[in-house]
Amino acid sequence: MLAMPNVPDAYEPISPSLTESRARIEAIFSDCHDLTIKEWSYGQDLEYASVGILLDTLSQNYRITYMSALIQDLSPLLGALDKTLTPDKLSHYWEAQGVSTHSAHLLDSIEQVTQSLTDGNVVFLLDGWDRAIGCEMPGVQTRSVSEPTMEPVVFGPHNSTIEDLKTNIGLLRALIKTPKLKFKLLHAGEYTRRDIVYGYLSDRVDPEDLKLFEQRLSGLEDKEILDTTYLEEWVEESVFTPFPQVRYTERPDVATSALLTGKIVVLVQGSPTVMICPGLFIDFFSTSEDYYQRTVFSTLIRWLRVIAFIMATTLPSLYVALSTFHTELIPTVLLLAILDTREKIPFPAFVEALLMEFFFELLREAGIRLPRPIGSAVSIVGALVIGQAAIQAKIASPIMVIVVALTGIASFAMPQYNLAIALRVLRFPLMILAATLGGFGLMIGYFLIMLHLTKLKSLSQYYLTGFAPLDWSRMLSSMIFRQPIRSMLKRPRHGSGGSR
Amino acid sequence: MMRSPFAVLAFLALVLLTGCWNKYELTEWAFVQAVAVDLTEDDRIRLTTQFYKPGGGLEGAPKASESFNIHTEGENMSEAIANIANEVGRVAQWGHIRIVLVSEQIAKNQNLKGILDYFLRDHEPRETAQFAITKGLASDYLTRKPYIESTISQQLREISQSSKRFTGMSKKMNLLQVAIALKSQTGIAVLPYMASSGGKKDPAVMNGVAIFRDYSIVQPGIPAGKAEYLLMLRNEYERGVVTYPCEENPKSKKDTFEHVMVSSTTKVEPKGESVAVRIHLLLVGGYGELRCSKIRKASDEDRIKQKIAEYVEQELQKEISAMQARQLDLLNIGDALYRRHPALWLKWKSSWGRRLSQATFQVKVEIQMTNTGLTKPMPYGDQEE
Repeated sequence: MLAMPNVPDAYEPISPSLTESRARIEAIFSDCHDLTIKEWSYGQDLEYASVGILLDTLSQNYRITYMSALIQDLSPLLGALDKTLTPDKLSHYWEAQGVSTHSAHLLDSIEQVTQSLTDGNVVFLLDGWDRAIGCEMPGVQTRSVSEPTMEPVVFGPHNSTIEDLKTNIGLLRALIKTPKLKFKLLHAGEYTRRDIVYGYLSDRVDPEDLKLFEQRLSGLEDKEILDTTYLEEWVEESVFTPFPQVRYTERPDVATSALLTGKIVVLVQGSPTVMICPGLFIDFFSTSEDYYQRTVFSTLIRWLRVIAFIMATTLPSLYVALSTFHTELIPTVLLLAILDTREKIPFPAFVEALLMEFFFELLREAGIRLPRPIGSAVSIVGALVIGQAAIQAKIASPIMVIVVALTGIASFAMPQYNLAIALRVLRFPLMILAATLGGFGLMIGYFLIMLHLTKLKSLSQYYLTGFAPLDWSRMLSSMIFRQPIRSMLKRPRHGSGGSR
Repeated sequence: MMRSPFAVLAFLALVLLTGCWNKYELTEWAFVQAVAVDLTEDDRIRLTTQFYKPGGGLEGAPKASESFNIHTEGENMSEAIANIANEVGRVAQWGHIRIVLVSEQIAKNQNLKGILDYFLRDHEPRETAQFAITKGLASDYLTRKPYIESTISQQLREISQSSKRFTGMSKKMNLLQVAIALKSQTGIAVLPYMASSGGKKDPAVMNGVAIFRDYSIVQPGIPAGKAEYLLMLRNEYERGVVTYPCEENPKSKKDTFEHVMVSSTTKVEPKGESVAVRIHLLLVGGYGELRCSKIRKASDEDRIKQKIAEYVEQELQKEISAMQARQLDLLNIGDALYRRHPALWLKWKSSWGRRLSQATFQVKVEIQMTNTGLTKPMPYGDQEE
């Protein structure tokens, strides 16, 4: 299904002369040291020449005996053919009957030959035949299916998608056993010719979503797509909003459940990341494990996430607003405790907050990029600098450190990493508003965010579906409570939304 | 895009025109903890304002003093307060004031009116700040050292809270409650009273209540021991103890009843030229200390309950008689009458004191015994016969 490339526009016929064709291909692949040409003879006195051409870096486990295997296809039909085999017979048979084994296909032009070679196939040319055969080979080594690194769980399946597209689709197909599960293939890029596959359940998906999705994904032919995440910008409505409109996963069970709720999944060759769209606001608050644990516990965890969401967006700005504009709102005893720690700090609360947030972001960024053995050094230095020395040097107050640390922890508690990033971005404008207008400014900030969110759409769905337009049952069952599985499965799932 | 310049303009207007620029960092404020109002010799207001002094010390270093007092004078509250800024160098923030103390001396001649006016009118001080009338100079109470709290202001606030909740020796009122109480129909208000046993170093305690008539203090107030019964009648009593004399040896031996819940209901009906007042008081509690009473059977308990009820009734009657003698409506019966019979009240208002002294009071006390504390309800160490 995947190997047959789309036919290039230009058409250059294959010469029946083997030497000519071979020279032509060698010219195209000049300066490609990994082009390997194996000569092979057949016929009664081995009088007929043929060549197998491949890029040996792509087909690492190649065996040139593929040719024998191809020919053995014919043996039951032609009898003792080793002796009587001629190029005419071979070509005649293949052209008339097609190729049956080993995912092979007939190639008509030089363009198809080169493409087949770069796809990692072995191409066989026969002397005196103006066509060629491409056989698929086991390709470049990929890692095997392993534990998910991004979304570990305690209960539930422990396998994850890998860099191989076929394996990933296989993982999904193995979980949803119906022909209604569709996978459509696209190619993108002139050089990378990336295979992009999107899948959906034909009777669950919202046709409008699908239409819009296909429309947005058209015209990728000349775009070099290196990873699934590249496609996010094609799929989403607004590129400049901080809020993510698609979800990512590397867990087949999450992708399966998304498909069952009518989402579209997108996979790209060479990337283990599965994109799920449309991604709605409430989707970002649930994880697969919510459904593997007890209802009550999962419900409490959801509340925790909502609180974490609010904390991650507003805690620093709330602190700035309270301490510079609304000191009356802080309980007296707490205020006095804060006063004690704030007294000798030279900076205004806003600058202090900005500084500490900056330190924190700096540390986080430094920690991500560093090689793992050095990574721990960052956390030690960070803990010392931010936690201890900054307080002793009177650059920041302990309460500010608590605020920044809690904000950081709260943003880590977001199940979807890309939503946490959105919150990091929003935190700073809110802090500025809080520092200039206090609680009033914060209110304006929230108001603008709410306005933005209500306007935002992910594919054809409103981003805030559940809240606006209001749908109590969906909001209660997918955000506020984790519905018991039995009652969730009793009725058909929401067309799109109630996710896990 | 016509909309984006408009949006920018709207945003600028929002930030620049809304007037939200009254921004102060925490380190620019000086937080007022308490204020004591006294009278100077030339009848001006002398204000003692206690500020919190932030430590800035971390690592648990002992702090010298967590508060300091500023004395200012002025013709009225505003003037005295305006003078504070001259001394402190930071902006006084009144939002976290713990307690307002007003001395007996200044509470004469309706001075309380002006003081309360300032606190109610100004937006910063909280109306939930505690209030107390002090015996002697109010400023003296702010110079004491706190025991546990970081400032004496906080301690005084806690005292007024705990004495109301656990002893019933005095009341706890905030500025708003005081302002409402002073405006009663009868013009009589019962306000918390703070005293100290002697010198400046002696601890301050809540000690009974001060009585106000028409915004001026009426002497004498009611001391702690008697205030209990007054507060019971006013249904402002939470919990405390009643110590009653033993039957055999009333002089030296006393038992204690410890009540955890007290409630009273007062019914006022006009009767002839005066009113008939029926008060029902319910005391719920158990034995606090037994020195003589022995309870062996149910009838013993009934007898003791009867005894406690009689004792309490007697004390309440004493309070009522004293009140009638002074013609002071400490139970705000006039207000109850006003609510039920406003026309009658308007007729009687001017002669209320005289009518009150003729009123008939019927007091009934009910005791509910919830536990005996020990399994043997008799004095510890006594042998069962």
